[in-house]
Amino acid sequence: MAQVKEGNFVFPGDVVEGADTLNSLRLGPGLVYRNNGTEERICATRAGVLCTAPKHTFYQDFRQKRYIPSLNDHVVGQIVSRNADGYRVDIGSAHSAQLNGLAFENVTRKSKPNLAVGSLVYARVSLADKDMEPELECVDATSGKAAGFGELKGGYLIQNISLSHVRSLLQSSNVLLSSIGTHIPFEIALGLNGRIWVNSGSIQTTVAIANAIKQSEYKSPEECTELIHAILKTL
Amino acid sequence: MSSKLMSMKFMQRAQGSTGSDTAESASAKHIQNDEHWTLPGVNVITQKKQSKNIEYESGYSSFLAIDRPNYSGRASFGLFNKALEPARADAEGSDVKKGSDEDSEDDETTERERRKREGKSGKKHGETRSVTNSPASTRGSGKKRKSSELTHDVISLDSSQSKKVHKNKHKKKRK
Repeated sequence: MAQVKEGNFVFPGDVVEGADTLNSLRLGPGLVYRNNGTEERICATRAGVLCTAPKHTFYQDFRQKRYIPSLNDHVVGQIVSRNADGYRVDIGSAHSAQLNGLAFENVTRKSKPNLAVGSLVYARVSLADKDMEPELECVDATSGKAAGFGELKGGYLIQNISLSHVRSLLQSSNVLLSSIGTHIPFEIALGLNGRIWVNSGSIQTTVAIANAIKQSEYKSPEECTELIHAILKTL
Repeated sequence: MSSKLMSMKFMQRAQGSTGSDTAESASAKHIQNDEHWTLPGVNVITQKKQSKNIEYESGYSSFLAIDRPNYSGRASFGLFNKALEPARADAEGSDVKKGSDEDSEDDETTERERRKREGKSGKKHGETRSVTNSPASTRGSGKKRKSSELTHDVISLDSSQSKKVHKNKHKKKRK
């Protein structure tokens, strides 16, 4: 199965080795191709771990809290206002996003969902451009079904999580959420904009889960297990 | 040799390069030396050639999909939200059903066989049809059912109850 490989930690200005001989490359966040006529090289622009992926793909994984909308990102947003077309949603980016009132599953002009100002939604970024305000949809791109998108009722929103921490929670190798799930039943929505929504049976368990997520950013899997046991003891 | 001679076509052909490009660049260089400031010792680059084909990805969503092709940031643990855990909920539901079926297995198989027989060939010599002749089904599927009528749809093992339902059979036509 195709895997992403994590390499060395690189600093801004470091040259990526191994990419010089390739003619066709895919560069992700943090890497740029510089050509000053005499010399061509691929440089890192941020301090982070250099990762490689199949099909000559290189990118950097660095710690960042500021969210810049990107196409097909799954985000947690809060409705700020309503307009004729739909809703304005705050996703933590420089500009508010626009969510069309018809961008939901099984909706017609007569049966639109009625979301209140201040409610939370889990949506997918359908348009992300530096010159236009971002747009959201609450349907899956390929199937047209809800697929987990839509209004998030109740629960608690954890803000100000670093984007790299959220991405690490989304990986299949991460065991934090499944370990908590064996002790406490809960549901979660991970937003790539640095926001996580958690809902469980009581306020105490919700706060415990939120604390576990916040404190587990720099911990190894074994330390995460110890952290979960310590937090469960407080319940 | 003068630059004018060098820019002539037969001289360019002898050197092996295209005549027009070098003539243009020579004339351009001529103009540049007179009017434009240039650094001595640095070759003027007229065209930046990009030998590599570079694609840029602005976000991480495609890289997350490598690890988990159909990833969704929404998840539920411990059956908190059954809609998000359909596989586990169905498996647990079917286990519960199996446990209750074990006791009345023999009766249900006979009832199932009776329903199958009735379903295939229709009414047979006055046989009771406790499920299909209930008032709820005779009225049609579009209307709401009353709570009292729902009990008639339950598989009736008691023959006396099924006879009670049978009373209304002639009053209302089945649609």
